[in-house]
Amino acid sequence: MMLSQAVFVLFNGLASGMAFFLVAAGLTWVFGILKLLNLAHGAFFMLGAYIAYTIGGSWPESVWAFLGVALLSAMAVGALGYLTDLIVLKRLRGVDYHYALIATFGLMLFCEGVAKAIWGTDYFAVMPPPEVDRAIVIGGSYISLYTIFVIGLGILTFLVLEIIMHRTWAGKIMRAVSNDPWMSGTVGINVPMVLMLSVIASFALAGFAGGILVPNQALSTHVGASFVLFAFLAVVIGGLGSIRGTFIACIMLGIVESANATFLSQYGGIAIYVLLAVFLVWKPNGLFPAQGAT
Amino acid sequence: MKRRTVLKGMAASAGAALGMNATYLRAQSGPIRVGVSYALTGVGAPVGTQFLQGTEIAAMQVNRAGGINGREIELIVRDDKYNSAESVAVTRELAGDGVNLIIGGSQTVTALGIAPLAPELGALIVIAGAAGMPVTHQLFNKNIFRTVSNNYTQYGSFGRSLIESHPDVKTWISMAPDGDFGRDSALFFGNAVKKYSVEAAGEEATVLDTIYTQGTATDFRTQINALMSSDAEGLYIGVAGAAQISFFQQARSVGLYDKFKVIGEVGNGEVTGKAMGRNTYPNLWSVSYWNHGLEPFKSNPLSQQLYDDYVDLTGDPFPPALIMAGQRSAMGLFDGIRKAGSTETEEVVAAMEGMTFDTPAGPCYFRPEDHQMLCTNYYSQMGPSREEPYYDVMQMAQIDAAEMVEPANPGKPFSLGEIE
Repeated sequence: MMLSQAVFVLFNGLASGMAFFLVAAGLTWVFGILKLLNLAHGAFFMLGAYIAYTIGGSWPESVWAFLGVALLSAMAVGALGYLTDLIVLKRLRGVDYHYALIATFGLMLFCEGVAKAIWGTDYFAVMPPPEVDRAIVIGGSYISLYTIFVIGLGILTFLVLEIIMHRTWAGKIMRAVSNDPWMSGTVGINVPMVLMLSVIASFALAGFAGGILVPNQALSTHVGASFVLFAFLAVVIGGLGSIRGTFIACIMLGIVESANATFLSQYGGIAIYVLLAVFLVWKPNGLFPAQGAT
Repeated sequence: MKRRTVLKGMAASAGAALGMNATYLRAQSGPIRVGVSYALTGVGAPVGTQFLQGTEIAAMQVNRAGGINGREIELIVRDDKYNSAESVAVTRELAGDGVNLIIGGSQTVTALGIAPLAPELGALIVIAGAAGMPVTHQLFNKNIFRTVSNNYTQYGSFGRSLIESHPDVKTWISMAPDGDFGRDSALFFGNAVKKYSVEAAGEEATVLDTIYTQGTATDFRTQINALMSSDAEGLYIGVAGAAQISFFQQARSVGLYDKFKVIGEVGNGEVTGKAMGRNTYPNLWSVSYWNHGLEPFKSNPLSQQLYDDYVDLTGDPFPPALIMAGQRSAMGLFDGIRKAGSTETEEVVAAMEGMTFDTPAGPCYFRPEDHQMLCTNYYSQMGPSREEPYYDVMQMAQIDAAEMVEPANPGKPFSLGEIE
């Protein structure tokens, strides 16, 4: 019994962790390059979920249609990211980070208001695509194929981001701009363009996550809240701006959360905060701190 | 006493009397201002907005019929944001604005905040949707009236109704939020299942330990795995709102629909049906209030009028049941004002104590001792449908609240031991 529970905890934790990572990826990406803590990230995740629902409806026809809708959602939210950058974020570069926090908080409220005006306060539900809309039994535990699908997409997203960031010219340019925008500008890099593209990529990742994770829970204007909380925790534990650190932190958070729910269900969520406290004491700059972090 | 002093005093008295009279005349001739405080934003918004629509329809119906004693109803609506502190703030604001008749507490969390305020504010507060036991027990005061069944009546009746309709289901389990409401509702449900199974099935049903979760949880995989591994064939779900829909989304994919013969849920009703549509669990029973297309509502003219007014107002031909709860709460207050012939708090309170009034769900009665409203409790059976809105309410079960209500014990905590 204990072994099957342990297997379930690990598997469930990995599934949760990858869901957290899909949301956290865009958050840590934009922080790594712009040093912007985007409090509105969850709101754009929510918009991505609503857009996916509007395009694809409640019953996706196939995995490919489902992925296609998620990509369209990513594009739409990426376009919103472009507008947001143009209207809001661009003006915040170089000013104290408090202004950015307040502005993105306001942006979050604005997005929720817009979503409510368009889609109302009713709840919606989207089902997983038919190919992954069933379960397998492993060691007495019931595992949904959709969660395996999310795990796969989470790992794939991590690999793609890692390759882009560490194995391509584009990634090197972004890292250069992140480390020293002034010097990057003097060697001919179009810094404003790189920053804008980074914002678009971050928002697109939020939209993609919204499209992929919408079958996981009821769709409402609060859909992003729980994911985003874990995403922020993962970004802090992983090291602000570190995709690799965020990925590992998400897995840790997922497993701890799953163990908490299985073995300490009467103390819901407490283990997560213990983990966070331990990391803040032990590694205050996270698992993979940014260069120059103190 | 000097003559000048006497004259000044007379002049002051006359002035004050004239002023008060003017205020009195204004208060007696203008519209009757009724405060409404529901959760219109936040996670409680889907419930609060439905309550509000029902209350607005009630005001519209009264105004259309010429008002009360020739005075129209004017609703002053506030958003309690599903937050206890906010509900207190808006209730104080309404009272500060001279509103002494208030309908609020669409959920227990907000009702617990506003119920104790009523005497201090000199207001009458109708608690519209909160089923928590303290409202008519330790928090009771003469100025509050509850227009919904309490937890004990509601979920005890629900357990009884389900075991009577499913005597073949021998083992039951509950999944509920880890809080007063969740623990109480699961306990009352389970106790009733055990008690009435003896009569219904000839032997006592087994009720397994409740699985607890958080009321706003989004991930139910652990709980679903535990449910799937249990021997239970009947399930009561105590989580509501978005959390319940997330549960069904996740549970359906792992085959929970095939495992359980019957599922009862806390009262999401059409909210879950609308969201899940064709994927609604096929034998889902809900704590419900109303369905215009089924008896006994179908032959009730008040019910049909409510349906017509809802469709006129919204254009939506599929009204949620909670509309009736919002309308009924307001009608209880409006009938009290009519009976009192006054809008003064004390007089309306006196008029409502022991009052019986007609609703789309039949007559309802305010128990004078604790102001608990007693009506018939309804439970609806839902399932998927091929046609819009892709879910269907197939039948309603009913149990008279008077058969399942605890003795009035105002001012004291509810104790299960005294009853069972």
